[in-house]
Amino acid sequence: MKSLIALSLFISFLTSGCLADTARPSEPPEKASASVVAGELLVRFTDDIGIADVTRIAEELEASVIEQLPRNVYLIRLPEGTPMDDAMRRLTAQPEVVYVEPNIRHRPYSR
Amino acid sequence: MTTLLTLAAGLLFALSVSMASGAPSKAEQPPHYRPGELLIKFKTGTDVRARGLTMAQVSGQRARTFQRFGIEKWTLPAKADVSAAVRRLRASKPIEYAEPNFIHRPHEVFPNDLDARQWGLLNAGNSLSSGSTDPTDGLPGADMDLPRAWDLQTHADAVVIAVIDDGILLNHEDLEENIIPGWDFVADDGDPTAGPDEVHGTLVAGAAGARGGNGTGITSPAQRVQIMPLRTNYSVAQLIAAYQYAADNGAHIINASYGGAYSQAEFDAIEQLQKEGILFLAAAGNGGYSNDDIPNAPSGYDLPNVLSVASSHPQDGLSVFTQIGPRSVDLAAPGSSIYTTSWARDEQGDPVATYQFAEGTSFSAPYTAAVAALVKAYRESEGEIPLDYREMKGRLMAGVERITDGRLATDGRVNAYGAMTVLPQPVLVISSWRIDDAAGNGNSQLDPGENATLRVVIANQWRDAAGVTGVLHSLAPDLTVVEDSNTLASTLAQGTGAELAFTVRMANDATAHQHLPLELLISAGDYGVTRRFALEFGALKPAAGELTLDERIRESNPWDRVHTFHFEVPDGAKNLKVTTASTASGAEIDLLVRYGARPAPQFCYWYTPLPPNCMDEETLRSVGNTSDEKITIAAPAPGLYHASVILFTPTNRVGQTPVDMPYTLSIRFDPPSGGGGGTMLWLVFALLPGLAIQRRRAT
Repeated sequence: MKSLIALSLFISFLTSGCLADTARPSEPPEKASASVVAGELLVRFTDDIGIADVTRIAEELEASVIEQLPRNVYLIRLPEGTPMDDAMRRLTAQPEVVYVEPNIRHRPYSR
Repeated sequence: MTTLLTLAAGLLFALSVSMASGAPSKAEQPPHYRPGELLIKFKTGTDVRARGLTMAQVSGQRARTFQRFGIEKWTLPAKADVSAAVRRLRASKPIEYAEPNFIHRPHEVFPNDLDARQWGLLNAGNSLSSGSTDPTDGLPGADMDLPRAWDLQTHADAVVIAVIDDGILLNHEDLEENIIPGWDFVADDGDPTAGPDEVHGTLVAGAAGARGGNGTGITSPAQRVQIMPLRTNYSVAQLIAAYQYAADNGAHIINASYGGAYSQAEFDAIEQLQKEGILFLAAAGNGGYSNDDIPNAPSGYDLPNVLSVASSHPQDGLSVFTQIGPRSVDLAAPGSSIYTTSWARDEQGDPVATYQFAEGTSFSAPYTAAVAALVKAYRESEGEIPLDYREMKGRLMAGVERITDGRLATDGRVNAYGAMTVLPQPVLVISSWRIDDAAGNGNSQLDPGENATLRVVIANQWRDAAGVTGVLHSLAPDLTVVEDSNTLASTLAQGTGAELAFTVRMANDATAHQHLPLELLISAGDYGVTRRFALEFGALKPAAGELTLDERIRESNPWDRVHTFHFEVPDGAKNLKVTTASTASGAEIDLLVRYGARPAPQFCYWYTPLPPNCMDEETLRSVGNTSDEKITIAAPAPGLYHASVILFTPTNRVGQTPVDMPYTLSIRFDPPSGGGGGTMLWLVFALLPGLAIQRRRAT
């Protein structure tokens, strides 16, 4: 079914003339729609840091702790409208933080 | 070929009988035999000495005498050709008859629901009405060889495959018997049923675990296996939680039919799965490019428990869409025109079980997962200790049938029978290489007339290898191998890598851009394999003027998605401008420029908006929606710059648009003052693959 949809898209492209003349959304190698989950960060803390410290550090950003994952990685959610890169910079500066990354969203590999 | 045709005919016969009578199918299979064993009857009166002399011509050793029947069992040396020995003996006078030690087939090993459209399990050469852009006419034998595998093992009841995906139609008639309890990480409850628009998980689950022998629908390679359904929204946070759940609840194999950008947290989690011995099957992706150029996650994580899987089509070529990578993708499995479980809604809006064709590496990974389960079950039934990822991965990689040349680490397609029966051995693959020209100009790149050390890291994916030797051979006219042989001093243990060093020389008059194919013969004792890979030559010099691509290399080269060039900018130069242009449509050109080192493209470069952790300030990027890219540096530092030109085909047009991609790269800068104020301009007209092929066809 998906290949049929892709085929029909291709045919419509052929019949609509030159693609280069039309605006289209920016599409990466996998042309993902939503590459990250907005406002969510994965933060790995040093092994000696417990939930109390994690909660304190998150609260300094007004963020909430959503879930604890293996290897002392925590999923936290920033308040709506908080710039993610700014929050990442602030967290990275903390000595208790090993790394910070956005909650990336993968995509299924069928066509 | 005759055997395959007979096999195919046998299956079709079985299916037709089954459909007509409703009785379980009972395929007539061609006999096969134990390797290295013969059954001999000598003519009456042949004495012991004459028997010995007769058998000496095939280096036979008597193993057993069945006196009552006058028959003797003889063994041949390892790897001896049984057919040739039989032919030779039959021509010998003392022999009344000589035959292989045939193995009779137990009845009922063919599931009664092996649909003729399931070419990946048994390819009988049927035509498939799938709508695929890949070939849809089958080729007998271009399959994972399940009939022979099922002779040995028909099910994997005790093996658990975690299918981490979106939701699954759990009560699908062809899945429910194999489904065990799972979890829904989206709703955070114990019901991982598919959401309203979720079909992918059901498609994948069919490839991994459709029930075999239930008279319904299709079968997975494993027929009977435990499928642990874990529903996610594909966010790394939920995926990591699912990995943990799978490990905590006894999964032996995890299937990941998804991917995207690198995540350190996901890498760490998958690394942890090694402790439980879990094999992680990951789809290589459907973008049609090389994961060596643009790394893919999770398939590209360099972890010993990850097995990355590309897609093959019904004629045993690689699917047009599949991502490849001689360093980063291990093997291929069927992924085009895959007939699998699905679901739709009836008139009342209720979900109903269906079947459909689908395609993508999404199906190559779960097919491989099911084969891994079958291999695990069989080897354990033979008394081996429980197989972990090392043995499953080693067997899968060692048991492949070679179908490509330099596009995958093993260049092979999964063969279930091969994986089950292959003798323990090393699996040596190339994991990386680099140019060491410290004795030359030290820029870590090949330049015209330069001698350099090529350092190739060999990784061992299975049993320990002693005396690993590499012999390097250049297939590129402009690259000469000066010192072609190197041997490792110590044993290369399973899961480790070590470096072989060779000396190469680039021709004085070589012109960019070129891929330089090389062939490396790797041996260790009785083990030997040939691996192909390619270096890149992209040296540009002001004196070179206009440069043209060498089409001889491009015609057959499978690595061509990224061209990287390097050039010197003199002290005092200003306004460095690197631009690309192309009149072609359907695909586009993107541009990266980096000072001092080659750009290392990341998948996330193409995300909009750019994720916050994708700020690589060293690499300047121009990745717009056309091929007109431009990067300007007003005050460039003096020294070596690198420019990467990337052919980019949108996913939904992979395989549907020609990749004839002529482009123009121009590099300009204002030379240091006193140089007359002119500009230097070099143009490179490069033709990405497709055009060369088209030309060849036209002649």
